[in-house]
Amino acid sequence: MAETYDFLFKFLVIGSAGTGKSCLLHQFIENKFKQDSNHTIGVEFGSRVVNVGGKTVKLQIWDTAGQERFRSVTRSYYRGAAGALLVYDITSRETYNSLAAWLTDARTLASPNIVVILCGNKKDLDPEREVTFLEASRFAQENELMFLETSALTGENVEEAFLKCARTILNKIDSGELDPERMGSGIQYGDASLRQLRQPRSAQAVAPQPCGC
Amino acid sequence: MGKCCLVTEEIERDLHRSLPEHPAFQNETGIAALRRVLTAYAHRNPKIGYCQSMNILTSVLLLYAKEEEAFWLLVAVCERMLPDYFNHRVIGAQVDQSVFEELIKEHLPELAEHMNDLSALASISLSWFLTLFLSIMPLESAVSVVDCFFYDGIKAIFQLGLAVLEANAQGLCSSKDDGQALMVLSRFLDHIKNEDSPGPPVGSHHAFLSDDQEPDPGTDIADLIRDSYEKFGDQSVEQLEHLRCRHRIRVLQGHEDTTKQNVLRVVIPEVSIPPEDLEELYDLFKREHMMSCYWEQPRPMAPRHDPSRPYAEQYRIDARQFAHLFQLVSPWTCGAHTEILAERTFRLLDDNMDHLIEFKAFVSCLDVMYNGEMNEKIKLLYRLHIPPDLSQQMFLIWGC
Repeated sequence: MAETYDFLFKFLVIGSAGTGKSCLLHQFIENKFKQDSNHTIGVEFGSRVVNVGGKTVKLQIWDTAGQERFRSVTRSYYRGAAGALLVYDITSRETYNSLAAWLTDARTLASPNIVVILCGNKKDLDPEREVTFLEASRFAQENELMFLETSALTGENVEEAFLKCARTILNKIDSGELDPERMGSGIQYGDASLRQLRQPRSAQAVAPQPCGC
Repeated sequence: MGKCCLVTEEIERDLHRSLPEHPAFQNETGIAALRRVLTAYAHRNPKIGYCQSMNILTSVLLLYAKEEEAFWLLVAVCERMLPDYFNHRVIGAQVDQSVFEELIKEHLPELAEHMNDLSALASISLSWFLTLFLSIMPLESAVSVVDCFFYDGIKAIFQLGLAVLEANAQGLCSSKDDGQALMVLSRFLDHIKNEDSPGPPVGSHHAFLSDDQEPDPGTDIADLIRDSYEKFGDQSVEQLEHLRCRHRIRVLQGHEDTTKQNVLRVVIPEVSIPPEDLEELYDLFKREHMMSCYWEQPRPMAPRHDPSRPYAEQYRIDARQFAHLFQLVSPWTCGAHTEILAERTFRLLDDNMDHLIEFKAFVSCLDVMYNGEMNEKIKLLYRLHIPPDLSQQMFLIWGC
């Protein structure tokens, strides 16, 4: 285990079947489109270390099966996720319509503070689009989600989606909104941060108080 | 047959991702055969319809059998050999995961002790059971497993699963979390080879191996199978069936408990009813739902329990059930008027007008009735009496 990192975040990729969840993950990890691939059964897993705002973060990403009947199985993986990519297919209204149910699951099962980014995938299939950018942004706004349209085929916005989510979590840690030490936060300190960051952090924790007055 | 519906859509979506790396399914002939067998099966057995992983099994069956034979083999697998695996809750597969967990404890105690949470290992194995290792091993090796399965039944899958874990015990014990454990196992399974296979290896597909480590030297499937029979082959079919019965109850109870915990977790902070009372109310609410679903004349309004819905919506009650509960637990019972009051309260709570309410809504009105401030109570009473909430029935009764 040569790799060191400051934080480890647990991520989920959720959304209806056939929206391209596994392809997004594959594109993010391998930097290429996965042409001939099975659908996911149960869960699959991937991880990558990224650099966000000067910190190294290991993303541990759980990719879940989308078919309705696997819900009760995949739900057991939600616990303790810090971030989630909520994926729909811009060429299928049906996958867009089920977003609310997926979101409820993520917020009740993972944590109400889970950082979610909405991904309208298959952006490359614009001629077949059924869901407009505008209505999806509105949905994202109403539900306090970040939003990007992505293409696992071309790679457009894929990296950004994962990084944006990670950056938001880091910001929330910095501002004290998220406490990595809380059980089930989905955040762990890496070896690097255990040595260097523990001390400054506890000092930081006391610091903001004077500003409270 | 031939009609378009949710099932055929689901099938269509998966046709090109069933055995995509095999040339037989890279042209319309193979795809069309797969489509026909799956659609025919969904037609034969609407209770199952189509479940992902049936497509993978069927593709492999089609490589070795004629279309009709493949169909009947699929029937045997779905209805006899993997009972309840592919229904709407994949319960059978979850039962076997749970049985597998017990077998791990029994046969690999050191591993069980090392891994603090065996349920992770058990859930990693879901695809092993659902696809008989076809989706996670190179095809030419996995077909040997399928042979054993047709000869020995599910026993073959259990013992092979144990052999796989044993072969990786060291790696699993030193892995820091579920993710690493999953990685160790996929790397191993991905490199299982078949020296006796006549054909060239069909591209294996395991996806996400980002951690750079030395390549796995590869285990031969024949060795692994021999190992599994020698070390773990002593399970009898009767023993396994017995275990299945026991674990089935456990799995179903587990689902119920999780649902309850999750519903209560959301409701507890929002009301001032003490948690232990809420728990009893939940049980009462669920019983009311169950009773009318299963012991009374079915009514269109009362849907059966649907576990795929969000937890909060799994159990819902209609107006009649609500009226019954209202009489039992509401402090606002006032003789002949109780029924009317219950009906109006229900209408007020049913904001989406689907004639069903969830536990949270039920509890929220009780909370006001018991713990609300005086003006909250008056407000509620008032709202129960303003016209938009009056039913047509009321107008009829009063002759308006």
